[in-house]
Amino acid sequence: MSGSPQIDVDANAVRRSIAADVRAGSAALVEFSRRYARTPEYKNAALAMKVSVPNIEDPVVLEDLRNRMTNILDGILGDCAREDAGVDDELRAKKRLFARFRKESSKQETICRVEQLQKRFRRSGFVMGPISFGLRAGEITALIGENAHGKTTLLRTVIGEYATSSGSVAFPSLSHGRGFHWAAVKQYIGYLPQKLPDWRVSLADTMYFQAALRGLSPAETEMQVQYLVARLDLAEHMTKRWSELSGGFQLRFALAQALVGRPRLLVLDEPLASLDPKAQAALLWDIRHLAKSAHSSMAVLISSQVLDPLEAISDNVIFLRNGTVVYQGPTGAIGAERTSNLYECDTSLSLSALQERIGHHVQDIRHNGVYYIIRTSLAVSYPDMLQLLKEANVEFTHCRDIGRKAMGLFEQTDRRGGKA
Amino acid sequence: MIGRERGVLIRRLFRRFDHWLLLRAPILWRTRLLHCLLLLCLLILAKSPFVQTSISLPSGILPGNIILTTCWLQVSGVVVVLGLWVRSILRKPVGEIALRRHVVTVVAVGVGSYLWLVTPSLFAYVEINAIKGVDLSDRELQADVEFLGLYKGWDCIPPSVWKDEREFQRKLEQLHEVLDRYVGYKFDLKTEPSPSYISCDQQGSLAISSYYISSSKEKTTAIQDARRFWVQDNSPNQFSSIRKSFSWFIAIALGFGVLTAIFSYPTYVWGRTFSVAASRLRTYRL
Repeated sequence: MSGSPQIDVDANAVRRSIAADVRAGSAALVEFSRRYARTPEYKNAALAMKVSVPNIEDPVVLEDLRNRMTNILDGILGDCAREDAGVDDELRAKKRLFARFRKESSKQETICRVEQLQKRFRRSGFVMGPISFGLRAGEITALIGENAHGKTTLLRTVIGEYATSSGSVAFPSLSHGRGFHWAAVKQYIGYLPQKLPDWRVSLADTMYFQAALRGLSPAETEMQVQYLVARLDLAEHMTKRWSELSGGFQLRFALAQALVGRPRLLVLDEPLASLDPKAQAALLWDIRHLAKSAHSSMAVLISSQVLDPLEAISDNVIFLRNGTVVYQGPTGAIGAERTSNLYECDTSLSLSALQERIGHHVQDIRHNGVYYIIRTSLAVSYPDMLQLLKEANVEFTHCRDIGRKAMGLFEQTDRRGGKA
Repeated sequence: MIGRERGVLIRRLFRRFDHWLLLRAPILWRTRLLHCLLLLCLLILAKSPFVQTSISLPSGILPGNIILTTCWLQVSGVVVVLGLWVRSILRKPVGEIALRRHVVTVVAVGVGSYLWLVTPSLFAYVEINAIKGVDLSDRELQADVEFLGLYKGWDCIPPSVWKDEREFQRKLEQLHEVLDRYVGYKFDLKTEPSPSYISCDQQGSLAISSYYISSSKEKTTAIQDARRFWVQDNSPNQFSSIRKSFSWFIAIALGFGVLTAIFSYPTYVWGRTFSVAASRLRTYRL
């Protein structure tokens, strides 16, 4: 049909799902359209179907919806087939041009610029900073570090909840017209705090309220709320009370509230803490796609202790220790200037036994409470390390290179007690 | 069945209007002014049958102090209701928004609070008007006031108070008439009058509870004060506090509005503002 075997398999699965249950089918269709639809019309139509299905009970209307979903599915498949056959070369060229334009324009627009920012707390004596960085549209910046080392302080200072002790926070593309006013800038900032506040009014009303408060027109408000509800799979929970929601869905609602009004800067403080690994991945996937969305890209600053998934979606990393910056730069450049390799391995052997077996080939072995952290010279690559463990007859269940990972920053600074 | 359908229809219309308002005027929606006024209307409807709008006989008058006490109790209840209303508004945080948008909160809460505060006084005012229009001329009232002024806290009236038996009978008849008019109390002129809990030692004394006398006096004063309610003079008037309260209520309602707007700001805004002010002050001192 479309030329690609995978798309045909997926389409058949969606077709079966629609035939069996319209509601489940609508969700599958949305997922399918996200993956394969070439034009936004089909994506929007699929989303609209999903939003309208839960409110419909009439079997005749449901049958009609089933037919319309099948039409959408066929439309997507038809588009794919045309494109794969090379019919629409012009469209593809336009898309490439648009993608390049998006990449370039998002790189240029700085949403937030932080210069020599410092925050001092008189009572505790804690000092955060000085720190300088920029947050650009379409980029995700991960803020990592141990607890009570200044992550939340930095986030709250950036969004204006704390006054700066010195330095500045500027929003060059958000503060239009006369002077800088937090109230004006706040309309473009979505913030998800670590401790989610209770929602006293109904979930739907709270979302509409936040959207209307950000100055959206009634039509835009309706569209935005419906879109986010569909996008974050919240439709079936809209009639529930806040206390009836699980931690994960409370977080999704809070995220939807932060996203409503299309913010240009999204600040998330430990959003992954209460989620299971699957939900973490889903949420990060959503954040990544929202941040890099073509029509409203935004800058994202996100703090978390869940390092690996966060690292996978972020463009830049800021690592704080005792309020000062230990590492700041692109995610891909972590460990570029390291002087040794670090490996994280798990084995049932005791530390002394492990040292006895591989100690003379490595620089240092220690246990961080969960895994062994093995330091080697740069000459010992990951395959070499695996070979070494094998030759030393060390039975291990897990071994990975953390020298170029955010986890490595923690281990490096643990050892040095400061700079990475 | 039809009533239920109508109820459902009204509820649906109200919800639709509420949603319409939410999308177009979120700050006004947050104040729930519409709900607040609707509740007030329902309370007025519920209370209306119990308000005296016209009184023909003086005996039907409630003493002025009862009207005042009821009015101020209602005002106290209203203050509690307003407190709950403000609390419910504050539980819908708005975050940091422009100052001009908070003006809507001030106006909405101010208007709602004022109408709530004024309502008990309006009920009292209706009752005062009813007292004012009681079927009794000013001359008759004055005569009754003077007559009742002769009696001050007496439970027993010995026959020697009056010159002779004839005058005693005449005064007794007059007292009978006045007490009947103001408190609806009828005692037997021939035999020992009613209150059994009063025993008079002197033979031939007239036992009569001073409560009836003071009650009648209160009512005459209430009628006098009601008739002088809108006259601007310096003479003491028990109802003047109601007249004065109308202007006080404006200040209180505005206070509710302003406080709601102030507390609507997130606490961090105040922290940030004071922190910036303090650092500027330090720089200035240096």
